[in-house]
Amino acid sequence: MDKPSALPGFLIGEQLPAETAAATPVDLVPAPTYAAVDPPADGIGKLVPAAKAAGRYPYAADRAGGPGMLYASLARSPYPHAALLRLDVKRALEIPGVHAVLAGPELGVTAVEYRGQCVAVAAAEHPALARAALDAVEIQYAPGEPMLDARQVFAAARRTGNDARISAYRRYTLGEGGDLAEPGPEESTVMYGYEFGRGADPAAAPGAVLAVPVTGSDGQGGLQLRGLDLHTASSDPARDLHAVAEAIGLPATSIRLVPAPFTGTRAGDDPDLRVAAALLAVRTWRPVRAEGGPADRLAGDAGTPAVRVHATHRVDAEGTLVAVRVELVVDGGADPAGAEPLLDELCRSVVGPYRCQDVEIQGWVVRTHNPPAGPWPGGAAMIAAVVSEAQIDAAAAACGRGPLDLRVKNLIRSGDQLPDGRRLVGSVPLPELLTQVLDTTMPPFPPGPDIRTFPGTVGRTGELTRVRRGAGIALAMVDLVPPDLGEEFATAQVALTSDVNGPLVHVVTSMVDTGNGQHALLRRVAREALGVRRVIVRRPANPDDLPSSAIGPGRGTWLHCMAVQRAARAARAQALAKIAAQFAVSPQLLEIRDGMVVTYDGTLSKPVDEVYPQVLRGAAVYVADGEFRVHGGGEPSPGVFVPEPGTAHVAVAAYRAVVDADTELHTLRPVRVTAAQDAGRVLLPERAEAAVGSGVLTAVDFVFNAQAEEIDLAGAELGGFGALGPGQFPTMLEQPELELLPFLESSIGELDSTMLRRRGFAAPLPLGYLPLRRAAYAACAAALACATRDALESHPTRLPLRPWG
Amino acid sequence: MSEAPDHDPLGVSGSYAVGAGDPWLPEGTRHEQPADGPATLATVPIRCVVNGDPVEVPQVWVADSLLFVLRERLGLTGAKDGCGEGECGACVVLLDGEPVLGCLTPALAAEGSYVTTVEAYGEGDEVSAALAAHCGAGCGYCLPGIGLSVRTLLARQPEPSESAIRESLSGHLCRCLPPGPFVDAVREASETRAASGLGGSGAHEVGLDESQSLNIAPNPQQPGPPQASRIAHQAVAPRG
Ligand code: FES
Ligand code: FES
Repeated sequence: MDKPSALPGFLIGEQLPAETAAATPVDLVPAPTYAAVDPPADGIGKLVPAAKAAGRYPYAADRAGGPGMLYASLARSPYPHAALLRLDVKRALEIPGVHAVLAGPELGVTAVEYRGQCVAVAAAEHPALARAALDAVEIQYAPGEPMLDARQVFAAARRTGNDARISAYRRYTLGEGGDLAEPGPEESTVMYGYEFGRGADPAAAPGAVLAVPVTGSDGQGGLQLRGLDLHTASSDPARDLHAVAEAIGLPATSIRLVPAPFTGTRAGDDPDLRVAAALLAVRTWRPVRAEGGPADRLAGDAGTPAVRVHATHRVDAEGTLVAVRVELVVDGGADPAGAEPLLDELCRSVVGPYRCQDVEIQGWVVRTHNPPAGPWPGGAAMIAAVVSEAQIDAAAAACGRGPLDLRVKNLIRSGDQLPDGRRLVGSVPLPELLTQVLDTTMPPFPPGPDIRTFPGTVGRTGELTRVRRGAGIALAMVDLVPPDLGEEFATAQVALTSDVNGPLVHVVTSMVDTGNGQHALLRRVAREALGVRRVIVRRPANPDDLPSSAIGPGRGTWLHCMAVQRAARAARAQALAKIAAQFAVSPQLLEIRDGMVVTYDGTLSKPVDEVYPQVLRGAAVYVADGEFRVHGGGEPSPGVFVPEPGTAHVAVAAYRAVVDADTELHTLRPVRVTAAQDAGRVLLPERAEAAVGSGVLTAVDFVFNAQAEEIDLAGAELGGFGALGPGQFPTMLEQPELELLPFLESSIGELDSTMLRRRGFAAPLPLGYLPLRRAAYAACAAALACATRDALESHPTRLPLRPWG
Repeated sequence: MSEAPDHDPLGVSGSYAVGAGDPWLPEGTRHEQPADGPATLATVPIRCVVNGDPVEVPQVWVADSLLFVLRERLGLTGAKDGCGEGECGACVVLLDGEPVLGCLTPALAAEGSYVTTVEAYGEGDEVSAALAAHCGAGCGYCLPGIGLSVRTLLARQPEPSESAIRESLSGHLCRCLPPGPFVDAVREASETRAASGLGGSGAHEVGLDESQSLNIAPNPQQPGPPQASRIAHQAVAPRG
């Protein structure tokens, strides 16, 4: 048994506050029944996977709101740009079973800024009634002229000098910059424009939000609304809670956000769903569930790519990259500020992992009437990798050398400069990864005899003579700590204690386990620092007890793991104070390795099994807080990671993709993806492998997919396109085989980066942190594009690929 | 929008609505018509055997999907609503032993049938164990549906090839994991089955025992919906 009394501030599980059940009148909102399994407390152990496979894992859509629950539906604007003239919800409210309809200003919407903007919501006893209610809402739009094409908007702004629609501009130069001079006699220049569409959101796992009002007595025999429980997939509950509170006009303290497991790889639920469910629950005093549907998948306008990159690369006769010029325009949609991180990252990384002394990069974000760009899945690394690899291939062809040759010749090394002037530090093991990939064998060609291995798979199989194979190698580099990063931090608390079964560690963290094993990672970190097998990870009863800032994509796990590691080490130092005195060293210099307490240099040691029974005798508890901060600039100190001024840390990957193309039937099939990645340090192999798998899957989906609107178009024009034609998602039959090579672990384990720096080494990121999924996504997408280019002997410049128009 | 007093909310939404007393609807169909105001949903009771238990679900709207009835009326949330339009396979359940997409199968189609959901396998069998072991690191949303397809596959083909595995799962979209872990999981499940001598009877062992009678007293007046009102089951077919 745990000893909760010894640990103030710990809460067992995440039950509802007792008053919820007691104060809720039975006739209005019966007590919900989800508390027992919430939130998922185990990561990738055995319990959670078993629950997932048995259909018992409690996603938000599966949680019972209780009798009286209403279903919400959202109406979205068919116009990208319109004023709302007249709104009438009277007829909608007359439909029996419809409990609330909110439209326009009640949702804070006075004008439509993008197609698909939510303009009305309804709650009813049956989803069909909620949809019927929305159909009965009378909305009169005054459509305006929409601006959907970022290129036109950008051109107009340049022509007229009116840059009201240009919301951000970045420029980086290395060397001279400016217009390229005439090429020298031996030089070749390649110039291409690349377009990146918004990938359609995969159909599965749309997300759902359940809002349960909490009512209580008002002291005069009546009822009052006390607050709201909001069940939603969220990796940053504090930020999401404040966003909802602001949108619905309730104090943040009256909303309790109950994290639900993630579905698919999205970064959390659609904010529209959260606001709709919350508003309707507050209005009706009933539980309300809002589920995403096909209409909630906002793909941008098919004809207008979200990112355009115009790249010019110049190489000399030897294949050395002598100059790079890039201009790029990001369509920020209705919320251009949200696209600025993408612009930043893209401008800094678009040259890829290649060294060049003469670079000029310029980038703009423009505001249009497309849906907000939001965070691009996987960040800008994918776009950067696709562009840089395509340009290298083109340059190789232009100067008559092999693509591999050019890559090796221009490969960036530790110490080289990036376009923003930062120097690369730490290990950049691209040569090793590249060798690893090249050492593998290619899949046999031609495919077959099973027709399911052909491009087009079943039913769309052409003649073997028309099948061409392409292979492409791509390298990718992901920037880890951008130079302008504001402070991000996470905190944790660790308690080392014991019960009848021996030593026990409690970890309190504000990191949510979204069902992907985040807490398993923390257990691993605590186990490693303290040498104790039994580790219980919980979230705090009151989130304010463990503050953390908003953390950028890809860094959350790192910061929280580091906070736990620091707390665990501090608890360890307390517990081992006596031993340290015996050894005559400072407690901070003791480590636990292979079941032994050892001094830092390994000279003195004592078995943990002897030490812990002594120091944990008599219900002793060692509690310590830990905090970890990351800054783009400033002074480093213990617990604060700041890259040395002017330096950059990157994660790298090398991939090879093999793609077969049926040039007659116009079908493509990714055959195999070979992946070599630097993982820094692998804490949980299954999690690391899943991260790479998910990056590869996302890349395949993106590259071989078109936007939702184009499905019809393709079907009509091409008479029903087959497998992996435009507009479809690769099914399991068409997904490539993933050959994941053993991870390279470039990190040096437990050593503190501050310690290393003192000794004059360039330190890796603490904990050997590297975002595997983003690197996988970037390198895989680029390799697939290169392989397709090779198979078709053409230079497709648009992603998702549409090589045949 | 029309101002007609007999405004039918489902008419305008393009949804499926019926008038009271349509001859082909089973008896007991209720078409609620409040004294004043618009019409509401036409409902029928549905009787079927779900995971071996005979159930009667009163007042099912005639256009409700089987998925909706299972999840919202019977509380069986194992089948997931992924896309609601037949793309993802998260909603797969077995109807009379055949995998169907719950989101596209009208609940009426289950009248008098055996429905099997992942809940029938309780804490899990060798298929869920293998899926948990190989595919547990994803979000898990697709697993219940995939599990049912796998059971059907193994019942027909105890030792499927990789292509066969991939093909049989191609009606499912997993957004988290590549096919590799799924292929491994199916292989493992197939081996476990072979080792325990289960062979090819898997998918048919739950709710499909022909000797088990449909344990609902048949209504002598109402022999069940005539064939015309039956809608062909939407089978999970690979695309392409
Ligand atoms: S829910 Fe996606 S196919 Fe049924
Ligand atoms: S595991 Fe997430 S959709 Fe399959």
